[in-house]
Parts: sequence; structure tokens; C-alpha cells
Amino acid sequence: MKRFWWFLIPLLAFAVLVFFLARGLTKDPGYVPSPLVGKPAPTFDLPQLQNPKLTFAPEDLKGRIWLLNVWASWCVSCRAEHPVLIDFARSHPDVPVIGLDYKDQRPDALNWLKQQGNPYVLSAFDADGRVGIDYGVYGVPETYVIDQAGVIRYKHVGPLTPEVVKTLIEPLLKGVPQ
Amino acid sequence: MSWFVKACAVILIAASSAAYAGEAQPLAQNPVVETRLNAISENLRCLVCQNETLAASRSDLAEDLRREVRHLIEAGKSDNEIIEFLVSRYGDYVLYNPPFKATTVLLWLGPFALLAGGIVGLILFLRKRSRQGLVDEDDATSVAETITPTAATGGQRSAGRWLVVLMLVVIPVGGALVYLKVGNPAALDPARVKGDPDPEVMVARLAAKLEANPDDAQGWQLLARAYLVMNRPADAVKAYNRILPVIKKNPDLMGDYVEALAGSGDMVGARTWVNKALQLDAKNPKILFLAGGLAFEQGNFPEAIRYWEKSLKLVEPNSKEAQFIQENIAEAKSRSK
Repeated sequence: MKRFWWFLIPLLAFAVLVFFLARGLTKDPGYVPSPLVGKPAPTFDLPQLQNPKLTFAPEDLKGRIWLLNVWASWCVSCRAEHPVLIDFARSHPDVPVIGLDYKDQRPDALNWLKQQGNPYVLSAFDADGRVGIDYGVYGVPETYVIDQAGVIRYKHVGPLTPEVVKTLIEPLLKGVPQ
Repeated sequence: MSWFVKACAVILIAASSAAYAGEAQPLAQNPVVETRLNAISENLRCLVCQNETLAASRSDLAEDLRREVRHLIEAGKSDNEIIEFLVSRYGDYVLYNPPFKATTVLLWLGPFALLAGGIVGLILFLRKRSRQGLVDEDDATSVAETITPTAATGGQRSAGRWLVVLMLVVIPVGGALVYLKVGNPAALDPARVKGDPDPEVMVARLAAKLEANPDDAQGWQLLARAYLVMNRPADAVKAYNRILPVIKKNPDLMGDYVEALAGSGDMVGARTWVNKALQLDAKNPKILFLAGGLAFEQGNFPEAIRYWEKSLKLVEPNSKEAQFIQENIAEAKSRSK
């Protein structure tokens, strides 16, 4: 029955199609892979939120592994992730969490931290979003893990959840005393 | 006078880029730069809306990215350098025309591979059939014969033929009907899709709309602001005059109004309104700046310096505005000597 096998071809083609479509369903179409992972973190020198006279540059933390969290007082999802960040800061005192306050108003941002609690060692104040562009920020909140050599090891877009911290961020922190 | 108009334009642009970052910035500064900006951003994808081009999107991020591209053009970068700037930050994702490389081979060659596979399959199939002697002039009925060669009666033949005719009619007509229902036939005409990018026409249209609907205070505000940016302060004053009750309650608007009055040459009016605004809000850097400008215009340099120094304390240190105010103070100081 050679002819029988010919009928299998459309079936096979259909199976392949279903496989790709099904895979497409499980992916987030809004996710944009960052070309910055594995590259040195872009440098900047921004005034700090709480103390505009002082500045912060990523080089200040060279030799340490740290988190850069992009947030803003106008950002609703930041509110959702905030308890996770506070938890993280408490349980990882050796991993500094730096905020990048993105396109915000200073009084609003300060007020927001007062209300929600402040997990950040400090926040850099990116008023016009220029540094955000260098980091490829397209949806606040975003979180970057930057290693001892100043290389971006991971970028998370969207609010952090305890699962993300546990499965994606903590494995990168191995070797850092907890 | 020209000094004042220029100062107002600078402060207006600075203020609108800071406070109105979310608003579309409609008016071109330099047509050459804008044309290149448009050409480049037509081929780039907005990261937030994803199905819109960077040129068409009104999202905050798209505004910022256009501003960045504008700076790069002004800095003399080539189109390729600008595209590289964005790709290095956002990845190939921003390109509507993705480059050919290992990860995109399937994307680029997949359709051709499928087409080639289909043609090969069809040739093999037809050859096999002709070897079996089953091909006749009527393809549709011969397919029926292949499947049930013994049962091919005359009735089935004509039924198959009718089915083909029916399909040939139903599929295109059905497709056209569905398109008319859910599609946008107007979009087929390129002249209509392009829209009208001419700001003059857009402003004229807005003005006409407002004449028909004069209670729209926000519309008048928008129109007046557009006139200010287009350097038509007299028209701006006319637009602001339509919403005086709203202006009286809003010091920011008063500032814009003062700017329009001063620009159109009504210095007495400008002075009256700047004083009213200061009574309402003595800590508004823009109003303080305007008050200083009016004093400067009268030759009252010490007073100008006094207002400008107050204003300087209220703006973000080291910002463009602060720098501009400092330059003005220096100018006033050198003149008062």
C-alpha cells in the first residue's frame, strides 16, 4: 500500500503547523528579547532621587553583583512588585538593589517611597528617560542583574514575582554570601 | 522685542518638553531633520504598541525615541548609525525588515522552501498520474476518478464541474464581502491614507472645529499653544480670549497668555496679567521668568534680575531652563552696569 503513505504527508504537515501554533500560544507576544544580556551595563551618571547633589554611576558598584530596578510612581505594576522587592532586599543584604526612577516627578517619587517602603539602597533619578533608552527600557518595571564585572546577566520585563526571584534571579547570585 | 519672543519660544519649548512630554509634539523645527526622522522611523517598530511604526505611535516611549533620533540626526549621524543605535538597545525586534542571519533563516527562506516543496510534490503527483494514464482535459473530474475510478459516472462528472464553477464564484465574492464588512476599503487609496501632515492645515481645521463648538476650553488651549509655537502670538491671544474665565483660575495658563500678549506687542496687557498670575502663584518659575522678561524689556534690570533669581531657585538645578535663566541674569547684569 504505497499510496497510503502519501496521505500521511498532509497529516504530518498539519502536525508541524499545530506544533508551531501551539508553541506560539504559550509565548508572550509582548516580550522583546534584550540584546544587552551578556554585554557590559551602559554607563551613566545621574543625580540621586533623595539627594540630588549626589550622583550614582554603575561603576560605583564594580566588583559586586547588584540589581537595577526601573520604577516610577506613576507605574501601576511597580506597586504590585514592590513587596517582592522589599522582601528581596531584606533577605539579600549583600546584593544592593538600586532603583532607576524613570520619567518621574521628584516629589511624587519621594512620596511613593514613603508610602510603599524603600527597598533601594538609593535611586537614580532619570527625569527624561535618557538612561532608560540606553538600557532598552520599554515597559516599567524592569529589573537587571548586573555582575561583578559590570555585565548584565539577566533582564526581567514586568513585575517581579517570588517565582521569578527564586528560579531566575537567585541562581545568578550563587557565591554571594546571603 | 525679538529678544523677548525668542526667550519665550525657548522657555515654551523647554517647558513643553518637560511638562507635556506625553503630548504629541506636532510642529517641525527643521523640515530636513523631520523628513529624515520620518523616513527612518517608518521602518522601526514601536516597542510599546508593537504593531505601529515609531513614526505613527503616540506612546511616551515613541516620543522619547523620536526625540533621540532627532538628536542623532542633528549630530550628523548616518541612517545606519542611527538604526544601529536602536538595535543595540532594543534588538532586531525594532526592525520591520529583520536582517538575514542564523536565527532568521527559517523566516526568510521558509516560504520559498514551502513553495519549492509544493512544486516538487505537484510535479511528482502529475507525473505519476500521467504514467497511470489518468489525466484527461478536465482536471476536476480526473481527481474524482483517482479517488473512485470505477464509480465515475456522467452525473458525478457534471456535479464535479458545477462544484468547481461554484467555488470559483463563491470564494472571491465571499472574500470581497467579508473584506467590505471587516476591512477598510478606503485604505486602498494611498492619497487618503497619507493624511494631512501639514500643521497649518491641521491648526486651521482645529480652529474651524472650535468655532462650531466654542465651549471646548481644552481645544482652545491646544489651539492657542499651537499658534504660540507657530510664532503667531496675535492669533494665540485671540484663542486665549475665548477662555478667559478658565485662564483666571490657572496660573500656568496665565503664563502662556502673558507670553502670547507680550509676543503680540501688548506689553501693558502682559504686565497686568503677569501681576495677576503672581498674586495667584508667586512660586511659579515660568511666571517669575516672564515677569523678569517684562522688567528687562522696560529697562528695569535690577527688577529683572530679582525675578529671574527667584525663578532660578525653583527650577531643576543644572537643567536647560536653569542654564538659560543664568544666561539671562548675566545679560541683565552686564546691561545694568
